[in-house]
Amino acid sequence: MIKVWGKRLKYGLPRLPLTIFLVAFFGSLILGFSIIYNIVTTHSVGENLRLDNEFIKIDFPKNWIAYSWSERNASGNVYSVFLYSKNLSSIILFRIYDGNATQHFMEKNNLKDALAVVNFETRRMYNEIRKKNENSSLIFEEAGGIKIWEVQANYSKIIIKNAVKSEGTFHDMFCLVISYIKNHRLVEIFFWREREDYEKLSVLFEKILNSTRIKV
Amino acid sequence: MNDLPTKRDIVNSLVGGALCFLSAIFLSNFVDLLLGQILLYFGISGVTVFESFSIAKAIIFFALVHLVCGFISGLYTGYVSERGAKITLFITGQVGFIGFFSYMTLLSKVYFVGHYYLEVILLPLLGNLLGAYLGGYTIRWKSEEE
Repeated sequence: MIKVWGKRLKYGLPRLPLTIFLVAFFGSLILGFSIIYNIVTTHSVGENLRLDNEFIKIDFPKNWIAYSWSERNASGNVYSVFLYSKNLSSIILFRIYDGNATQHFMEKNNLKDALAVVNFETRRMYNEIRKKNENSSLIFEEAGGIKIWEVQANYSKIIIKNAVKSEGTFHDMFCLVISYIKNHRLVEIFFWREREDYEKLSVLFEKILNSTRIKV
Repeated sequence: MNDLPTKRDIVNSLVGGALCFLSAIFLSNFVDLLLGQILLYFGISGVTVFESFSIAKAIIFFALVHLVCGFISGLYTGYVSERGAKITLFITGQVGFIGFFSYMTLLSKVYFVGHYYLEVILLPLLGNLLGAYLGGYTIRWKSEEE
């Protein structure tokens, strides 16, 4: 049997390397969780967390799963924020393109304006789902213009029937796509939700959207 | 003074390294789940959106995964090797790090963005090496009585 604790120093302390290990172990854990605690205390606004950076200012519920990332490549930079509520099975996604990425995206997909972007994204979404389930079908519910953060944007509401499979049965999915171009920069907002519970969530979505400022 | 490791010691240190990265694979998945559950339990899953969370996560992984795995493999290498502890423990730590890094890269779990050098190179390497040396010297430590 390996006796790590067996031989002790004069004053009853464990061996020096073991002591250093324990100090490093617990010290790192304390430091790591202190950083997380610091994030919570410095970014809390009531029941929400506030993400405020050079691209976006947004308040969202603390218990939502959230990620943000930048995709940098030769064609430009795209910044994304992904919010997901496990309890409500809904997703909100923001994508903010810089000038070069906007130009590249529009040229690559042969798009002319925000309305074309909205149509392109809804069809792309539907095609992705159709690859997984051929029985799904697309219903255009509503489309048009909307003023959001003092900017004229385009939106499209769609329902994809038999889109997602959960617990053995297919559910319809509600999708809302909002898009606008300002200062040659494209902004896209996506909202996905199971159709049945859409009404309950639309209020929350509007609340999050109202607290959001896109810095374009 | 001849403190060079024998071939047998080198083999043992390689086995220690393999032990290190295999345990790191298991522990990293476990700790990832555990951390997610802790955030979920406290209702603060949203903290993952902030850049400083990746630093916090890297430090927690340093402690719970890389340091622990390095220490365990160091205990093994220190126990079975007879000579050349400095070299054998270095090999153990290095093999553990290279194995784990290769595994993560092959599985495309490594994202070369943000603080990646800290998360996937610096802290895992430091954790494995430090853990291996501390584990190895813990087992070889001469007590006052001796």
